[in-house]
Amino acid sequence: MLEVRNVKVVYNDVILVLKGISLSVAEGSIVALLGANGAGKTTTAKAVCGLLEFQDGNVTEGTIEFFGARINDCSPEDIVGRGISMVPEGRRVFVQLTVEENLKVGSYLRRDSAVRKDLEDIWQLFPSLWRRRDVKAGYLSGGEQQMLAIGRAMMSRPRLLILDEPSLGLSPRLVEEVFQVIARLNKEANMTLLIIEQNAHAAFSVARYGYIMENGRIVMDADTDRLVRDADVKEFYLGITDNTSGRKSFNQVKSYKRRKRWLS
Amino acid sequence: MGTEILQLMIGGFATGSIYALIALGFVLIYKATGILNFAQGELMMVGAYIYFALVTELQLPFLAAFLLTLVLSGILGLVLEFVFIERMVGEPVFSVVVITLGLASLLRSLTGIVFGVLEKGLATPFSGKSLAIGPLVIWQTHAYAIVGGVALFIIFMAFFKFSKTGIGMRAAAEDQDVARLMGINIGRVFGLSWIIAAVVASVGGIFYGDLSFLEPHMSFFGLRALPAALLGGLDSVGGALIGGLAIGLIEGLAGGYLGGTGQELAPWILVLVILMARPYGLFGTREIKRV
Ligand SMILES: Nc1ncnc2c1ncn2[C@@H]1O[C@H](COP(=O)(O)OP(=O)(O)O)[C@@H](O)[C@H]1O
Ligand SMILES: [Mg+2]
Repeated sequence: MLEVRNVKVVYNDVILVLKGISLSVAEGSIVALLGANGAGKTTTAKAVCGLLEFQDGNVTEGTIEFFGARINDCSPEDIVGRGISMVPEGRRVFVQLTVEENLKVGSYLRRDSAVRKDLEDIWQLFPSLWRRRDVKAGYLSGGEQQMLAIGRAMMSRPRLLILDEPSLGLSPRLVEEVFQVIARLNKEANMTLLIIEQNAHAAFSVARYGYIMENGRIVMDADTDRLVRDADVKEFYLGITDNTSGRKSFNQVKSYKRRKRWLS
Repeated sequence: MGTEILQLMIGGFATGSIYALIALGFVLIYKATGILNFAQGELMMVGAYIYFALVTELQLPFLAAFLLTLVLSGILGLVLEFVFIERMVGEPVFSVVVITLGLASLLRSLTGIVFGVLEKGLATPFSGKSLAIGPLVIWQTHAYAIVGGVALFIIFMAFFKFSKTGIGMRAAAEDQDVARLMGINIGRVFGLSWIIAAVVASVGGIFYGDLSFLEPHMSFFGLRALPAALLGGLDSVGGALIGGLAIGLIEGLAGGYLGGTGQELAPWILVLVILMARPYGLFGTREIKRV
């Protein structure tokens, strides 16, 4: 349903951040996009959602297609209307608006009569939000804000939901909760999801297919059960080595660097 | 309470509700676009002249002229935003503020060219008529300015609280990029803010013209609504109402007991004192500190 082909992105006309990336997300699937800080994950998400032009960014090459239609030059509201919704990095709920108002903003473009029912569904999914529906979102805990950001994105009835680092800044228990919700959305609402993460453990717990991004390039992509077994991924993203139990630091991972050079 | 002080208070509240309408314009444009619109007083002035032209040239009855003034002012606000402000999106805030200053003198000169710089009287059905409430005799215009101003405020507060567009505008004021992700068109939010700012300013202009008279420099009255906006908090709609009424009241009382200089100074002294205690105004928001 989403096809990103050889996309290059330049900021301020000079800084080449995405150096030709391709990825695809099939309807009904959960796909993970992994990479370290600064790899270009958020830039990829912004390119898909049409937000780059407001940050002096530009897709200079390649195409982004959604259900076969090219959306490179579409406005963000057009893209939301086509069915792509994003939970931005760092949640970014509207802190001065109440929980319920945040959800209403999520349904901003909708004119259909099912909005009320969808709101009920969100309350069902997140009972703690229902209890705090009249509280300003700024007063919610980090976990509640993440749930609210997901609920808000769901209120547009997306066909594709992009989550940018949903685990960021959350405790392990909350990360687990968030990913349980993600799995439920996929299973029960048949939602298609693209999950951007640094936390590979969490992402692999739900995603079937994964892309690994480094320095504006996709350096590896495979089914997640294969990625889990890959020595480099194990070392660098899962922090597991076969001989020691400790987590390795970046500069220790020589084979990963070698491989990266070889791939690029 | 003596009737004298009551009279002064009602006069003060009447001026105050006009301040509140103009302050509402400051607040809306500031919230949406982050700029202080120094042409706000000119929007008020042009609105009053539009009404004047409709009743004197076209001989329209009050209600028709009033409603048409709202429509034409809204269109003016939209056009000004589109021509002068839209293209400045993303430029430094300071440059945009200077543009609004330029826009202000442009509107004043154009009004002077079209209508002349001489004072003109503006009449509404309430002009010069009084209203007796017990021992109290007040101007009808004062009563209508208060009732009309407060009613308009209640309408707009309900709009921002309950309507999807209003909630969307508040969301856009907080985080433009995320608002875009929700499908909100920021350009339209800017345009709508200018439309509303121009409409409420024109209502203030009609009442002010009725209480006083028309001339292009009446727009400087609009700048006196700035302390009202600051007092209530530059980003608070309710604050604009409270700030406007408070400034009007203190001006009225100071004018009655201290004379002209006191009337000029009192609002600014009040604002200074309040802002020293609360830098974001009475109802302005800084940011929520998470519990
Ligand atoms: N608006 C911007 N202007 C210029 N450079 C940017 C901008 N946004 C991000 N970058 C740069 O692009 C690179 C990728 O950033 P980003 O997409 O946020 O990575 P990630 O989400 O993977 O951490 C970083 O080097 C970052 O500094
Ligand atoms: Mg990022």
